[in-house]
Amino acid sequence: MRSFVALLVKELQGFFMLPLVYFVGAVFLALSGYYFYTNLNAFITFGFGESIVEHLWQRLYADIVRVIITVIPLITMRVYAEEKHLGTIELLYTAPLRDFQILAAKFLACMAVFIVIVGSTALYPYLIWRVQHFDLSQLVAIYLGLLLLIASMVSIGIWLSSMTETQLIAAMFTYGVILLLWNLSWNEAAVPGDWLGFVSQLCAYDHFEPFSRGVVDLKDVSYYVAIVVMSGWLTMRSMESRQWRGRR
Amino acid sequence: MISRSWIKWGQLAAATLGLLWLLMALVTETYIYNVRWDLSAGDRFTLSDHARQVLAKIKKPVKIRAFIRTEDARNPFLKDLLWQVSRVNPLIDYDVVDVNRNPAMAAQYGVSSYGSTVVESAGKRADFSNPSESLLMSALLKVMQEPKRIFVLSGHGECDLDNTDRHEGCSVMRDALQLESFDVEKLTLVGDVPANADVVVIPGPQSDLLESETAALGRWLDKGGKLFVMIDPFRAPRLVALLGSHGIEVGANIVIDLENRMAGGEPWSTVLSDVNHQHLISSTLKAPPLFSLAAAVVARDNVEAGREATTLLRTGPHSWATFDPKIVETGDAHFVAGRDVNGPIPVAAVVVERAPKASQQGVQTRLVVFGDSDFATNRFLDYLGNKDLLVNSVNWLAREDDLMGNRPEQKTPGKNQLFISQSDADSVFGAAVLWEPGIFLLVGIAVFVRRRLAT
Repeated sequence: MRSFVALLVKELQGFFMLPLVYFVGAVFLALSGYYFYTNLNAFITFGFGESIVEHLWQRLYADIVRVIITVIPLITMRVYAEEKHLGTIELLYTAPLRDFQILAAKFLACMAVFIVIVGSTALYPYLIWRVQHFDLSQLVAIYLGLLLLIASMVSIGIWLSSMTETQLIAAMFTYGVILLLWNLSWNEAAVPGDWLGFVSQLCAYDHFEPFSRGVVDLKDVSYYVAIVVMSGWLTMRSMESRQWRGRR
Repeated sequence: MISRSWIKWGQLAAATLGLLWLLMALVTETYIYNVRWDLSAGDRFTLSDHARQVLAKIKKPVKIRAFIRTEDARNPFLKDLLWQVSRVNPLIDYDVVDVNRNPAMAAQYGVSSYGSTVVESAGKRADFSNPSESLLMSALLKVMQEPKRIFVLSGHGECDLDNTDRHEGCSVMRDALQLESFDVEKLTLVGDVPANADVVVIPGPQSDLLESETAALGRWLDKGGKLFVMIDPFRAPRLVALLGSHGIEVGANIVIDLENRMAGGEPWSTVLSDVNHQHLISSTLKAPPLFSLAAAVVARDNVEAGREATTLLRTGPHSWATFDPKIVETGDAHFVAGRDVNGPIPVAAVVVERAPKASQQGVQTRLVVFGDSDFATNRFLDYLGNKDLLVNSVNWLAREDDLMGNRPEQKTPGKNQLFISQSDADSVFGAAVLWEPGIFLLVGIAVFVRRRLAT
């Protein structure tokens, strides 16, 4: 356990001593803040008769997720790829740690980065709350949905980072897979009617949308958890295969 | 001979497919046996008690076809609603049909607008658009049962069902009853009450009924009629006398309850905190009703006549009934000993009695009497438990006992509005777009410089 905590601290230090994380965070928050301001203005100007709940937070966080999708590959691309490229992965795998512990430390460190960056968007509800109080329970569901969504996409990013030594390739593939998952059911005309329901069940957006309305469904939670489990398993097999492929 | 590497690849592929299958099975199970935590304001995305009661009544297959277009913002809500109802009752099957993809099917169903939803069962069909739980339940009721006929008396200054005035009209009452699949018609009482009337409603007559009219109502009640009277203080003495002959005394007084009045409101606009939770009509009310300018309504049992009376609503313990009709003009709401009556005061009651001239055994006359009609106007019907009280009363009279429950809260324009000044908007812009990202940027620069200096 001590080794795991030490690795986790090292991973956290690795991220939070990286200027890239803050620059990515600044761009993310600038874009999110801009979406917040414009959505707020649109709501005040055109939203009479609508409720804050449905037509501000729901719209805003759907916009924010689009930025998150862009940012995730930039953070996850280095997790394994950089260590492979620098050769430090060999040292890591000779440490008294299980594969699962190594993965968990890297995953949790990534999540900590996103909790800090995405958690900063809690400023927006606070700004509105100062002017006018409203029911906060929907935001609990939204942030739970964001946490699950980010966890699933981070785990995909980590898996793809474990497949290559080149960070750029890891980032591009991660972005491609995440974008595909997010957009899967957007063009319904491209899918035969009978398959639409199945495709919808694979689509990450369709599983996030209920959270944005304040609805937490077990089916949506299980979808994201399944992606985390599958990606984590594939990551461990990817690293394990280096042994029998003779690359260790 | 297969190499060791190939065997490893094979094992990996098999294990991956196995895990994938397991996870998909688990996700499918949670899809089938989903559990929902609705954190939206007012549980907006959870089926109401009333909807569950309607769905429990469905005993034959129902097919729902929702005609939509891709990218319609209402789609997720509609799909979720249909999914929920189909889970509660497996006899309900639904299809979501893209109108642009299936124009022939849309034409076959005569659907021309996006969002139209067709509900069919056993050759019956009901359509609605603009998805909402209330409209879906109404459509389901329409295809499941013959509509009951509700006649609403007119001609004595009763609240007008066609009047959409925000204060005086009763169009919201009409809409609420039609949503429950009732056929609502106006009644001009010439001769007898129509034989096909299931319930007669008298919503606040301002002038008295003719003797022939009360006689017709009396004959109808003797045959087991179902009557719902909302009567204001000092109105329609002949009607009051008819009610008295059936065990309900409407007092010539006005009820005052200063403790339970609306904040800053008139002393005679009263929240009725004492609700009888034993009776079907009021047992499912989540919020107490609000009456304005109500008269006392006292119900008396008569065992010999087979009459059973129940009080539904009372005012608070510190209320009273005043016999001074000028109180509304003077606004002087003070208890006068010797003249006024101490509370709590009953203001709503029901009576069930064996119909004395009924040809069949077991036929019951049912009466619901409220000492106020304002609660049913457009002004008050959406307040607190008023709408549920009204619809439950009609359902109870029409013997739709199992359809009494809380209806979903309607989204009302103007609710949850946000008013923000320009200076607030400017500070929002500063904090969200400039300061917060700026802090991250500055920290990033500091880390970058520190690393540079360190190397």
